[in-house]
Amino acid sequence: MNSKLLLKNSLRIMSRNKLRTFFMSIGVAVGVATLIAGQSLGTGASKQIGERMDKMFGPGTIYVFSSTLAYDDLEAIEDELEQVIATSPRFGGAESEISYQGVNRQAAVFGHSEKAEFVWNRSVIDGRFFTSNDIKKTARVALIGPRLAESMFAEADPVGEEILIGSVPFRIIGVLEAIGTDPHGEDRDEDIYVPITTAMRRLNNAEYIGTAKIVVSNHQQVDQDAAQISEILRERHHIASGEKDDFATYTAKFAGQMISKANEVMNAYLLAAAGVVLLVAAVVIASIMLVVVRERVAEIGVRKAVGATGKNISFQFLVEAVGVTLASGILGVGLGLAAANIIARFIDVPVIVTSGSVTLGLVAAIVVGIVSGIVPARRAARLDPVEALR
Amino acid sequence: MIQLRDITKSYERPGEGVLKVLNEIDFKVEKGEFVAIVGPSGSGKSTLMNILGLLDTPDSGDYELVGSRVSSLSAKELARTRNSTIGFVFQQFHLLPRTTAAENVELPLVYSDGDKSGGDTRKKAIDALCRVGLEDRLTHYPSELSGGQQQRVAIARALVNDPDVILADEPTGNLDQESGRQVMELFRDLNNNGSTILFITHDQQLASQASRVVRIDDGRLSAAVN
Repeated sequence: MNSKLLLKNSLRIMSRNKLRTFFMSIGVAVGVATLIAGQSLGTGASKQIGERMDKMFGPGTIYVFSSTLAYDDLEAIEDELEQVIATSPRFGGAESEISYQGVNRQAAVFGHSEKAEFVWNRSVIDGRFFTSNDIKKTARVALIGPRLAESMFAEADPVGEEILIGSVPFRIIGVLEAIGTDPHGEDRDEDIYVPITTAMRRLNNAEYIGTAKIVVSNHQQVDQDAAQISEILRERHHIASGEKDDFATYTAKFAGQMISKANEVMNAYLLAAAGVVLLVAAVVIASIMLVVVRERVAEIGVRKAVGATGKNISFQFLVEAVGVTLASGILGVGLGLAAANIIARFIDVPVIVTSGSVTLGLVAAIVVGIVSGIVPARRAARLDPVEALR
Repeated sequence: MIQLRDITKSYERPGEGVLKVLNEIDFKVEKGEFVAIVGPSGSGKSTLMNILGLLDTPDSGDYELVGSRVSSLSAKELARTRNSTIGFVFQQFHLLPRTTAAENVELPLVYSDGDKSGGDTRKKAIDALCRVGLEDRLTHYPSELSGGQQQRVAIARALVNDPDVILADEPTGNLDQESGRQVMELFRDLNNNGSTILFITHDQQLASQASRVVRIDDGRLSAAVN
């Protein structure tokens, strides 16, 4: 058989039946477009979330949460792991009453160490940050969030003024830089920072710190580093193997993965939707092809008379079906990309096209062609030429 | 070239029982002959043609075509033999619509293997169209051609593979007298140039143009002398 000639032949037949070919194409094109648009927006959103998590957490950052986390634990981590650049504890965050010359406010009071300026990446815009001396001496000094400062002191300079946190007097030594609202919706510009030692001993009489942020040198290794930190903490907290941790570690990657999970569910829905569209397309194409076979009975008879075998005939109809669906698939990829780019403009998500999704789209198109073409092709192949030519 | 021995074919018709369409047919055609098969409708001449053309198989009997016993061939070999040995011409032309004359003539080459399908298939198609006098209608669609021209395209299609025999089933049945005359003239020319041609007709006058006429009646063959 001269397959090149047959292909040319089939292509021509499809191109001369434009309306029918259009109806056969549309389902596959829409299905593949859905798939491509969904996947490229999904991939873009994932990457964007990952980047945002990195920015929020800092790429080489590990959080440790534990009700039994002690100061010594952090020192041990810093001593034992040389990739740890700094650890910074944080304590509290409970709302307390703040007052200054009759002005009363509620604010979240955090205990921080002098390393917070670097580790939590928050400096002061006025005055000075804590020193290690403040921490050692459990000094009664405070840093005030810029919005809280404005609401309590108006135009006046708060640095050097004395406020009461609960009933304990503190001297304001600096105004924190503005960072705005956190992901939970809390305004972090209304916080008060005090030395962690002061917060624990003078304000709360607490033994453990609660939260620490740890910065490591290589952000690619952050998950392995978190595992090592877990080991140290398990040993120090005397946790026997098999027992559960009494602490939790989080990395930007982990948080990103949590959000990606939600994203994956969305993606699965889109994939399912594309699948349904393609399934419907397959049914439509199969029924059109059956009509086509009936319409071309005489042609099939002639082809058999001039030497076509049943295989030649079924091959031709399969090629025609796959030809249409593959072309529609390619069209669908284009449509999907166009749709993704338009949607991306409205929702501010980057479009990332992976070769995997394009391959999946095209393979799906080919599969639809084979599945929908096989029954009509078989029927055509089995036609009796004598009947067909009558 | 063609030798039929004891060919029998019957069909079962609901209500009418078994109908014997061909009854112990013995028939021989030599290379270069121009044979007309005549008979009234329902006499079995189309069935005979289908069996000769390997589109149908007899219930019993022996068919030898160009030296090979047809009954022993597989479906695939039958298709290959149809392609290389036989050229069909039908009463209804059976050209593919939306397909140009040259493309229609090219059709058998699609299914040829090896050397026959190789080379310039378009050139072969054009050569065949030249032989039937349609060199100026290569890119016309069937709908743009007259009946006589369409049948000549069909004859070109039958010729394109250089078949050993051309089988024509009522080739002028759908044509006006003048076109029919031209088609018969074409057949005579082809026969003069060495083609073996068998055609079915119920028109005695057309049959008389053949070099030999056989009659079929109720499934039985009898030689009629010109």
